[in-house]
Amino acid sequence: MKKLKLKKKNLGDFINELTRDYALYAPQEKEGTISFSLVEKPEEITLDYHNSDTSPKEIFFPQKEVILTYQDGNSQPVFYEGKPFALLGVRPCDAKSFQLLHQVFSTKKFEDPYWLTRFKNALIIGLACNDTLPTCFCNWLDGSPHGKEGMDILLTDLGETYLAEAVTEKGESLLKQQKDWEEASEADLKQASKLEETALKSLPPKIESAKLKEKLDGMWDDPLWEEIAQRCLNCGACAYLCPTCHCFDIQDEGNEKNGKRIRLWDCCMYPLFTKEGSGHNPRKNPADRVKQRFMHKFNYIIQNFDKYGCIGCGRCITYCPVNIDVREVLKQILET
Amino acid sequence: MVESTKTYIPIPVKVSRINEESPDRTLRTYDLEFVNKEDRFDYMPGQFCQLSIFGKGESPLGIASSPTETDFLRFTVNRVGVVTTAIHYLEEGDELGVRGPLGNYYPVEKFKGQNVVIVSGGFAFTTLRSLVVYMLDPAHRGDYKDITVIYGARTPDLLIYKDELEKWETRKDINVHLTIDKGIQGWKKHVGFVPSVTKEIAPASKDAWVVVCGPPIMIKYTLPVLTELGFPSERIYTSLERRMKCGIGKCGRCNIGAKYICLDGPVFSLAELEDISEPY
Amino acid sequence: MGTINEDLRKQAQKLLANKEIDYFVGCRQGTIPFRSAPHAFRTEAELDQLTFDMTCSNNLAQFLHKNYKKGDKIGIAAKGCDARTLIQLMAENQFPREAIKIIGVPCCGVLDQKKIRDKLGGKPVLKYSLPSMEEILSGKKDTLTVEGKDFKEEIKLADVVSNNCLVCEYPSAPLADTFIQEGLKQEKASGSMNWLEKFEKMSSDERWEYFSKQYSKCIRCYACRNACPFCYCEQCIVDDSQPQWFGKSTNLSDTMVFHIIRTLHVASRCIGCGACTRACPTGVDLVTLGLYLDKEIKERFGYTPGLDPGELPALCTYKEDEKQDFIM
Repeated sequence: MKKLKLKKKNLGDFINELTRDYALYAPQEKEGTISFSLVEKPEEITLDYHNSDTSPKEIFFPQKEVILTYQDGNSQPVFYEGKPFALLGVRPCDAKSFQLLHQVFSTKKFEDPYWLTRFKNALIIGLACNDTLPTCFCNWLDGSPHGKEGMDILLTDLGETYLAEAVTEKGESLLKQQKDWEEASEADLKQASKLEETALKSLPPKIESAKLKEKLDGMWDDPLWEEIAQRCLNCGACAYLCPTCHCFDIQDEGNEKNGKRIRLWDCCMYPLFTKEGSGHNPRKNPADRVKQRFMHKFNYIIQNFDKYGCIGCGRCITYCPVNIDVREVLKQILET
Repeated sequence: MVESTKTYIPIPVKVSRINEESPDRTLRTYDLEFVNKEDRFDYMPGQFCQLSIFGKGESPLGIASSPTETDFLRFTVNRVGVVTTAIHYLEEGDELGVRGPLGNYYPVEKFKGQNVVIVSGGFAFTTLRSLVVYMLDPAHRGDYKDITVIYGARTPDLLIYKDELEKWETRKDINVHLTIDKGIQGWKKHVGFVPSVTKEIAPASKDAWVVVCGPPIMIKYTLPVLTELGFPSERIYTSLERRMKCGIGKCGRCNIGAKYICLDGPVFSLAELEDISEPY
Repeated sequence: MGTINEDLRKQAQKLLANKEIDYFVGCRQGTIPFRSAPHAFRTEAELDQLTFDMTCSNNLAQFLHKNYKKGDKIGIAAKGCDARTLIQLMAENQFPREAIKIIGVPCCGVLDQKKIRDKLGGKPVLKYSLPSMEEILSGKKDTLTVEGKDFKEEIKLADVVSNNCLVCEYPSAPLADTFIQEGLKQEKASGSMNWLEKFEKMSSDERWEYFSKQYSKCIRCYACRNACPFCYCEQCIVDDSQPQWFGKSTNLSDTMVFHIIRTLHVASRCIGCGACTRACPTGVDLVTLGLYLDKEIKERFGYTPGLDPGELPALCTYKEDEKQDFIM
């Protein structure tokens, strides 16, 4: 696979090239929040960032999405029809989350056409983490600050230039078109691997994550869930910032004659999530819902998709209003 | 893999017949016809559909008709929430949508050459009606040995599909035992709760499979009776319900443990459920 | 006399040892900078983790109320706003006065994580040191030190305390069983006009624009509602389905209706603790409107919530001699 060098001063040209063929999304700061949003002015992109506050999953799985419109009993599906998406500057953890979401939405008998329409032709250009956050723990969950999973191209910041490595055929063919980019030298590759080493060292010491699933198998009645639930607010901050949470609600907007059916992110922390029409709620206690969240990420998803349901981005740690720290919970699980 | 662009698109159907099932008018049976004949789909007993009312939403309901009844889909609707209430406002000729068939089905292949016992209570009898009608169909009846139905409700009024039950009672190829919780004048059949009547009738467990559906409390007390009668948990089946939205294992709310009721169920063997910590 | 934290632990220990309480509500050190975790201390052995400083920004009365069961006896380390919340909840008959042992702790305002982050331009803090409560209270120190990968900075505390603390009139509990020490009123952030005054000077168009911008950041996670000690309805209006009063999307019309209804529902009960704003992951300013309403209510009805457990909130009661000129 190709390994080239993109001079930072030529980044603008590359961005312009991408915007010709793609709907380009990149990290941009608005009102103090960094999110992946549609690039309108290339100078508003910030690649000198740690990670976006909200997860880029929202591009492929928007918080609100119209799935069909209806009129007089007839309905029409509504699919994204714009240019294919390109994401620039995706962190390795988030790129990995797309792979899990893709598995959820495209396997197990049914395909989700809305996810597929948005995701299948997308170009993912990742950006390696030379600098990690104190809340990062991707190394616990099969990830790495320079991980390539889920990307077409990985960029590594080498100071004056970005090392650009093709990961997929699609990335390779895009790099092949870059006639004026230099080939990366041995020294460049060495520098990149040194940066990876430093980044890895800055992460917290690993835990025995492989044992989590089995531990959780035996923790249905553990007092841990009550303990967490004591302070858990049962809000959706963790879920709505989480790159792997995929639960949604379906609602109608409009009257019986015409309107639209939409899907909206939903969250297992809300009592309404499982409350039935009769009033019965199988997860009526906050502790039941706390347990569902951790079981889903570290047991059920492992059973169903053979990978962790968490990628270690740490967003939930940063923003939990009551300091529920998933790393602390994982350690508690292993200590049980 | 199912053709995906229509995954969430309801198929238009029309109400062809409405039957009031209970005197308090909370239970009604709807027969639905496809507006476009080419939309007709095949299904198996135990599967469910999402019934869709635009402007209100969708509600998952077990299919009460049998695959052998090719000219209609039948659902019995208990009026509890927004969508089921909207369905109750429908009249004959009105249109609504249906999305399905969803979920798995009763293991009718495994039942072949064996006795089948059906235990049920209240309005949970819907997909069991589908199963009984399917097995009684001349094309299939020869595949099964004895068919026994034990079905109870609080009062005679609350038994659903009464006309059909009466016809089955006169047939020789099915044993029907009906029960009500408390005896009333004129009732000459069983009296008592489903678990105790099951114990009294004591269907033989040898070469037999049992399907049990009903309110959670009935299931809870019936399972030990079945175990006592010698049914191993691999031969006890039930059908579960949860709040659902997508019906295809994506929206994430109907799981018990790692299993999605909409995708891996709604039909589970007791053996499968025993492996899951989450209460069902 | 020991340090504030030593005194606090000692008092909590006494309450637990004498079985005067079932558990003690306080904070333990958090796992990330500037965050602490509310905790129910059930044994004396746990108490060495009990701590109080400017990172204890959660409303502990909310924690207490959420976990309260009839018959419980609970001790709590209460800042001014925690105590006012308790008093207000008592006025709303949520628990009797005698169920709660209030230890008043001196507050110098609580830190706003987001302000610190903005001040540092998003650079992660790896180490920080806060002056002791004694040093802050005595006026000896008014800065904190933060350290990251290639920087070390001093930040003025007044620049990074929560906005609501800057206008707080009650840094100490108006009602308590015992006090550790008196709290400290906060000074305005250096060089800036009080933000509430700034808000009052806005025209209605400017206010509309300001709140439209704020509410458009909402992701409907309900952290604000769930962190609010006065949002304890059995079922919130947003969760009603028959009828569903408004949409659940992030469209501005939906988020705005939600936040305005919520603000109005807690008006005259909100004591301005700022828990809503600090809980918000996307930094929506929620407390300004609440505090502004509080101020209006004080001017119109002479009522301040959270001072008297025997008095009903102004908007929940009616006096014949009340000014009614705003109606017509």
